[in-house]
Amino acid sequence: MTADELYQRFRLVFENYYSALCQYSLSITGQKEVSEDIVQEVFLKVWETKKDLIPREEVRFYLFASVRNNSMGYQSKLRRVSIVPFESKEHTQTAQEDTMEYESEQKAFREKLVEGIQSLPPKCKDVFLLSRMGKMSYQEIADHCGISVKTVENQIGKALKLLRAFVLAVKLLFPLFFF
Amino acid sequence: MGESEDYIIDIIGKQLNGTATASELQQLEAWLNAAPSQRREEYEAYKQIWDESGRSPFPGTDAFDTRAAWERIDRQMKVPKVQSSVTPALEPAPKKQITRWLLVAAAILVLGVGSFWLYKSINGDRTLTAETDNLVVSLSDGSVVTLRKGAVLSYPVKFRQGQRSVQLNGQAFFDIQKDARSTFSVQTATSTIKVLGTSFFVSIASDTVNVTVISGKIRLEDRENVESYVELSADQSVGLASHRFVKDSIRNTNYLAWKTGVLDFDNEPLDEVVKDLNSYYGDSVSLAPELVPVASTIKVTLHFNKESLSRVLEEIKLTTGLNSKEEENRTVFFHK
Repeated sequence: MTADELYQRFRLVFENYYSALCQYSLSITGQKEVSEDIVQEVFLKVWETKKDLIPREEVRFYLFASVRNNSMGYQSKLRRVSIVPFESKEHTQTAQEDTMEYESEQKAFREKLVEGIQSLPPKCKDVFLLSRMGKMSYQEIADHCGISVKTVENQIGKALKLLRAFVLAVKLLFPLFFF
Repeated sequence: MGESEDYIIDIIGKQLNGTATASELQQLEAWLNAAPSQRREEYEAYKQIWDESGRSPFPGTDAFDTRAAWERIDRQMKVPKVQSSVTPALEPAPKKQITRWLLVAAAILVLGVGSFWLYKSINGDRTLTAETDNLVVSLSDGSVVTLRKGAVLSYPVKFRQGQRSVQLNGQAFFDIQKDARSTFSVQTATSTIKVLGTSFFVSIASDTVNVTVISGKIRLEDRENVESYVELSADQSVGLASHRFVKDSIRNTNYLAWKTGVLDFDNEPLDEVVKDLNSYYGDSVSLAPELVPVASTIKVTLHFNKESLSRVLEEIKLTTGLNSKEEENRTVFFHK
């Protein structure tokens, strides 16, 4: 891979995962700016010292693992409890005039889902986000969190069960969306 | 809605994740069949949560400005000197300009380790071929084109004001940025597709063009007779062959499997399933002769996400009770 290809590859990885990594970090640190700093720092570290990772599939694992470690490191420094809201679109100034009606139901569902994920117990949330945002395998999650694959399976099941409670709440509002 | 035993939800998680074992799949199947209507609905709820939470970008992630962050990080990176095959004159140019060129070059995004890209510069036009894998191309107006392996796209590095036009051969998915002042058009050998802001899928095979609209509205014109056109809205599909428009119906979303990795079968006849599998995995599955006449009566309801072919076949066998054998590098389904 030439330097130019490596650079492009790096940018692709950045564009694919930056937002998800920030969201993931935010779920731990609770502070938007801190999350962005952590994620950018991790990316810079990859570029400066771990270029060999960039073309490989493992880069995703490395990114989520590092962001997790650094976010938790930050959090323990602050001794805060990790009950943290996701940044929701409503609170940003850039709230788009995305008023297409057919999207509103799906939006309601997603907002509810995000709310649901936010309210999961910490360990359960961690495992679920690593799986869905980080696209990590159960084995990778187990290795990373120092738990068994069986525990990962249980936590995912638990997350699904809890999240369904939120889905049912939207379903009452928008029954048509589901059929 | 009854409370399910937790182990079943764990299995559903594993099934959605693609790591459930054969015996777990059987347990799941048995559980579903014990109270189909209510449990199917419960399963669908889990599946929807799973799919939605795995979306990229993640719901609500718009709050982070990836572009601004990239610009910030790009400044901090020690950008290596690059040998440019497009504009060799850039080497001695000031640093600022090199960075800008790199940004433009980097707008061509390459997916998959195996894929690579090539381009040539003709009056600021670029031609990209998805050689070994799907290729995602970001255009200067913010539109994104996903080329299926084998597709070729020509486009200007930067669109001129009011002129958004690209040329395509092969199959591609378009997600077009809205711009009320400027129509976006896709030229093929025989047709022109005109849009404002929408997403749609184009498939070109010899002289036949097929367009499927996912959202918004498009107009498909015969290139030799622009008076001859059809307008399509979301969920409509149309073909153009030998100057004739043929209406298509959309069966399912599997025509996008090459992009999404998702294959969804909802009470789908087996012969159609085999077609979709062969389109996604390359010709590799067929039906034993005695199975062909009855294939349309065998229905499959399964969902796969970036699954290996062997796993997909395994699940189809489990749910249909069919068997399979290997013949000349193909898997052939037959009755036990």
